[in-house]
Amino acid sequence: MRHRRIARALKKKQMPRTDYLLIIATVLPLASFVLLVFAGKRMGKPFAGYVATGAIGLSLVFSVLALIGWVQGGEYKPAGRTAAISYGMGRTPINLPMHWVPSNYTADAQTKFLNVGVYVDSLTIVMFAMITLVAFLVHFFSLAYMADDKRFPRFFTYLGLFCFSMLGLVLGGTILQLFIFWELVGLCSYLLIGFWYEKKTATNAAIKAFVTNRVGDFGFLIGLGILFYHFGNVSLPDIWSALDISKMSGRGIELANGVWFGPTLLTVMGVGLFFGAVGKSAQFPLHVWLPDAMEGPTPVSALIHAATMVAAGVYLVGRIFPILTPDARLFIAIIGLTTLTMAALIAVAQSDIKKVLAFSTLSQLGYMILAMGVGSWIGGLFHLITHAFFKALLFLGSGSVIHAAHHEQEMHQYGGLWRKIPVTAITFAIAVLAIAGTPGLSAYYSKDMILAHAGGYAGLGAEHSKWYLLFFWVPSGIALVTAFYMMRCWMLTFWGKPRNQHLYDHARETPVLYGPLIVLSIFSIIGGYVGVRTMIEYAMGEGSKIVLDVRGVKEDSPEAKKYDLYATAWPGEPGGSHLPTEARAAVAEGENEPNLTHSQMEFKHYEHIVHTVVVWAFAVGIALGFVIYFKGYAVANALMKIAPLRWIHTWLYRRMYFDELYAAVFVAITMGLARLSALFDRVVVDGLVNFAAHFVKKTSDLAGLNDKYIVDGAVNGLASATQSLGSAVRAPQSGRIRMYVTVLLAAVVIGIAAMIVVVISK
Amino acid sequence: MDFLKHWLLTILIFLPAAGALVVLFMKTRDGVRWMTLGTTLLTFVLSMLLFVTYKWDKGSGYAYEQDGGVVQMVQHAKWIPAFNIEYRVGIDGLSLPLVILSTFICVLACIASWNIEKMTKGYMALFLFLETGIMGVFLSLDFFLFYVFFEISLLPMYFLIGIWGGPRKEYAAIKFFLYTLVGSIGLLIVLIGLYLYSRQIIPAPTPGAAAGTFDMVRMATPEFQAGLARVMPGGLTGTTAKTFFMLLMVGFLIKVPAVPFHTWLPDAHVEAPTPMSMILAAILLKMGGYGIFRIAYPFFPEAAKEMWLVIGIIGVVSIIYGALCAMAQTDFKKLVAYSSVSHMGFVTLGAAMMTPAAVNGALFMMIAHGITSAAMFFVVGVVYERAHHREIGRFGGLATTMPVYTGLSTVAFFANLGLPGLCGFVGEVLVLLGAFDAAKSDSILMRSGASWNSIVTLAVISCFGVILTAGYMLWTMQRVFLGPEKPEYRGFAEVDRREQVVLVPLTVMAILLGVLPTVFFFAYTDATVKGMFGLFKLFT
Repeated sequence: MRHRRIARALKKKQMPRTDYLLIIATVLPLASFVLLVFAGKRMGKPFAGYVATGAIGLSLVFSVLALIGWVQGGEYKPAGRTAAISYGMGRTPINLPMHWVPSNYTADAQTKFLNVGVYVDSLTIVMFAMITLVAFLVHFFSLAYMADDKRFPRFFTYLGLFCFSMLGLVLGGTILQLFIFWELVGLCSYLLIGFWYEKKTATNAAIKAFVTNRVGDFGFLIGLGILFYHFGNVSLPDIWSALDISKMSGRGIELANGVWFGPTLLTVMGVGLFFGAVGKSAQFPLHVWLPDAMEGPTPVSALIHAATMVAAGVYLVGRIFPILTPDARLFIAIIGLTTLTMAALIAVAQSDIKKVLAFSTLSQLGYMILAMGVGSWIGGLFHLITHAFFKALLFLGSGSVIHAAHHEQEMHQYGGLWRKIPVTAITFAIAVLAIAGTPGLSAYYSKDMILAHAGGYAGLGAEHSKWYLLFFWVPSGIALVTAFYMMRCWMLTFWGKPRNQHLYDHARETPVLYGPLIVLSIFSIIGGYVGVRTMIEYAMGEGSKIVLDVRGVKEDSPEAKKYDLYATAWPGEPGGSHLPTEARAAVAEGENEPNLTHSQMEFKHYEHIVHTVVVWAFAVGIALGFVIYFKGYAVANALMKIAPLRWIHTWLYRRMYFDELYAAVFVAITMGLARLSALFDRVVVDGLVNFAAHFVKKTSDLAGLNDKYIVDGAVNGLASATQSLGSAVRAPQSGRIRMYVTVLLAAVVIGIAAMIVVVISK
Repeated sequence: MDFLKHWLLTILIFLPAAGALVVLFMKTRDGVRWMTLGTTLLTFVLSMLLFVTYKWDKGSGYAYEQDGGVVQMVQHAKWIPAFNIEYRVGIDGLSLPLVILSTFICVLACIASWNIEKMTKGYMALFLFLETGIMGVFLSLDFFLFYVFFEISLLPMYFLIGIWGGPRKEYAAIKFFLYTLVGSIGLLIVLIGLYLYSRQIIPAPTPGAAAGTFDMVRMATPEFQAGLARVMPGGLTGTTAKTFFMLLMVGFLIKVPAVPFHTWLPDAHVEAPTPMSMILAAILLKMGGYGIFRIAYPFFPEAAKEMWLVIGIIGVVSIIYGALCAMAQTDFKKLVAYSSVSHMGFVTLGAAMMTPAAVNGALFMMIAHGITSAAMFFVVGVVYERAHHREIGRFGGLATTMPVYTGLSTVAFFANLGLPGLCGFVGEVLVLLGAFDAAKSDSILMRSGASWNSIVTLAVISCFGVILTAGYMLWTMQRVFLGPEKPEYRGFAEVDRREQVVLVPLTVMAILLGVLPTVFFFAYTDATVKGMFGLFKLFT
């Protein structure tokens, strides 16, 4: 009865505006952060945790309400407009810019501003729901996991700041705001990786994370700079709408503001912005920080370094997708491909359970980045969401294992744990099956989609060069490796005989720990169905609608077609194109069309191969993992006896020696330069200064001009100043300083008095 | 109200000196302290009245209020009529934030000076006298008066370092004094040279009266510039103009300080007592930046456009080289000093690029750096007072020993390394974006024939600074605050009430400026900066 009344009330009275709901959802964790900063210690354990968990729980409620409201739709009237805009799923996004800092002056001396603001489309809504859900579960999990930690309140304080930053990032309507929150989530990552700051490894990992991200930000800033100087603005709809393919000629594009943008510079801009994503999403070559980041508490790994923050890079690429040139996208695809391959191979050889998961995260992020590169916008973001659920599940599962195993993380010490912690074992198995691509589970759909689009891209590119086929066959092969290493991880942890009897005997699990696992495993199963994909699909169309709105073009006019965000960027310039126009359209669509061109046929062909490939990759990978690790390390150890395999294993186990390489090259060069600069500064620059002073003094001595009361000419002045001041400074010893001060002040006071008299007598 | 509008600036300048006079006749040490605090507080409160009397939304163009410009609350009187030297003070968006910053930092520095036991009376009197010099520099509009204040603000600082400083105080004090004096010679030459030219431009109004002017606002007007173009050999872009511009720039860049004129700074900072380091970094360095934007650029905008590459390179080298030097330091205070060199490089770069974003960023950077450097030096001072050394390598684990102190320091550190949401970021990102903006085909530099490649190269290299800054800042934090608690520091007291009173306002300001830069800063400066760009001929 009551339910029905609520439903009726909801129907009659429209939901509050979606953007308000989302702003509240964003601010709540900030409020919790501020409260805990001042009162966290006094609240203590576990009350501080309840505050933070409650805040994010409320955020979750508001996000869900926003979701409902978004599906319902509504109207709003932004300032300075007469007609109302109808927002909601499939309609126009909400875009509320706000002046932040002045950036330029117009020709008639008006101030232009760089904006921050709110931008809400279906993607925002989906991200909010995912982030708040995962964050809430992680908070809940942490209540038990961190219960023994002496800095329990501080942990939840940081979590609050993180949730605020992450939600702010997703809510941002301008690239500047993305960058602002981008850095803030980086700060939270730094604080939480180094949470146990007594450990040198933890603080080193924290610094590494922050500085490596800053290297990415270096590129981001350059991209932002180029973007700013061409577009004069950094808000998303304005950037999108500035591009107009009808204004494009062979060698570049004329923007809506009349600025000419050459293709090379556009590519540099895209690659620069993407470099920020390379840092944050830990792509090759900046991937080195993520495995080390596992020094942080495990819930943090689940929330920040698996589900949300590291996916921000993919999200960023998704937001700038329409302004990426084909060359930039090719670069993105190559980086994604490299990362997913490298990381999956390294994951096979890791022995620390969290390291396996970390490299698995890298590899999956590689898939998403690859998806963006090959033009599979939906596929990449869809995988982002499904990945968030199963990877959070895996990490929380590993947390449950580690908790049960008294903070032992080496899989050598595990074995047979399923008998002691069955719920964890089962939920972990669901996640393993999901990531491996079991038909019917969430990741099957998203990975399938990425591979289909990659296949289309590869097939069409192959007309250009056969190398393009790698974009399909490598990720398909790695899908097999993925299934294998995840199965290996599960087998070594839960299957077989215990390898450490003491650890095994004391292992147990609690409902607070496995409750979130159950919720997440449900989402890992159904994540592919619940309309996530549909909503993401809508988002790009909504973006196109706001572009039409900004440019004042009617939606059904023929002109409108130019502003389709999938098609806006670059149908290929002579000599620079890597993908024919029609292919991009096909890749973007990915759906049946009645009249298929030759290229689209190619694409459909790959879509059929994909289903077969994905299923086989899954089956073979799982089976291999099961067979090889059926008896613990027995088979693996036998294989290690073969020398080349052992070498490869060592190479992979040491993560291909990237850390050593970077330490030897970049860190050493920077430190060397720093020492050299300091030495140069002390010896040469300062040496010159001292020499000059010495020289002047000696010259004046020689000339006999050491009378300190004569000041004529710069050189003499200098010398005498040296002398008189020297004696003045020696004065304290002789007790004359008081007199000096008095004389000085008297002189000034007389001067001031004289001035005042003059002023008054005016 | 009318009285205030007329006299407020003069009162702001001379109130501290009057306070100093009273302090000299005080009997007890505590009396001296409270009197000084009272004076600085009163000055601060009075400076807050500027928010009421200064009309930030009135006027446009770099001219006096009565001519429809932004320079307000002008008070003037004849001083040396023979040369048309005047007592002339006034305020606009350029000086207003710096005045507020100065009075604010002076209050905090006074509180930070509470534990000075050696010759308290002399110290406090000199300190107040210094504040008068500072206010004079930021408020005077007569070039000669500016020069006088610029010079006399040196003296108290010289004594404050030379008497109350560390082990090498004599060396540091003399170096500071002479270095700046050398820069002032250039200033003096331009002062006299410009006056001589101005006599050819502005004839005596009545027979017998003096010709020429020292009025800084007038010297920037298009009429005066047209006159200069006529009388100066080679016109506005000739060798004379360029030499004058560079002489001014060297004088101010020494003060900023920019590489290669920076070596006085680390020595002065290391030897200066903590409160004076705060003043030095937060305010005295800003005199250089202020001079660049008040004098060098408005007086010689055309020469500045020609010389942009030199200034730009100095800025970028300061950013990178300063950061590298900071990374290699083992002395905590020296590290902060070099980080000042690096951050003030953004001010120089912002000036060189001459785009609205870059100049706005540079101006903001001055305030932001004023807040963060004061906080940083105080942070160093707090730990020095307890440990009696500043070796970064010997610290560690202070996060456990002094959690509140660590929390406040963390904000200062992150504000300094340019974390968004804190004040350092806004200036940095605006200067960087503005640097790229200068590559636009209709930017001031591109129109005057600058090379696109040079602009973009400088912009890209300066972006590199963000990595280095993060590197040395975080590394320092790790060595000082993180790690296991060290037994020798276990007994350290947490920051006391007095220290919190200094640190908390700085922290709050760092956050407020970082989150709402327009509300707290740009609203007041916008009209003036726009006026300056009128002088640079952006709107033609």
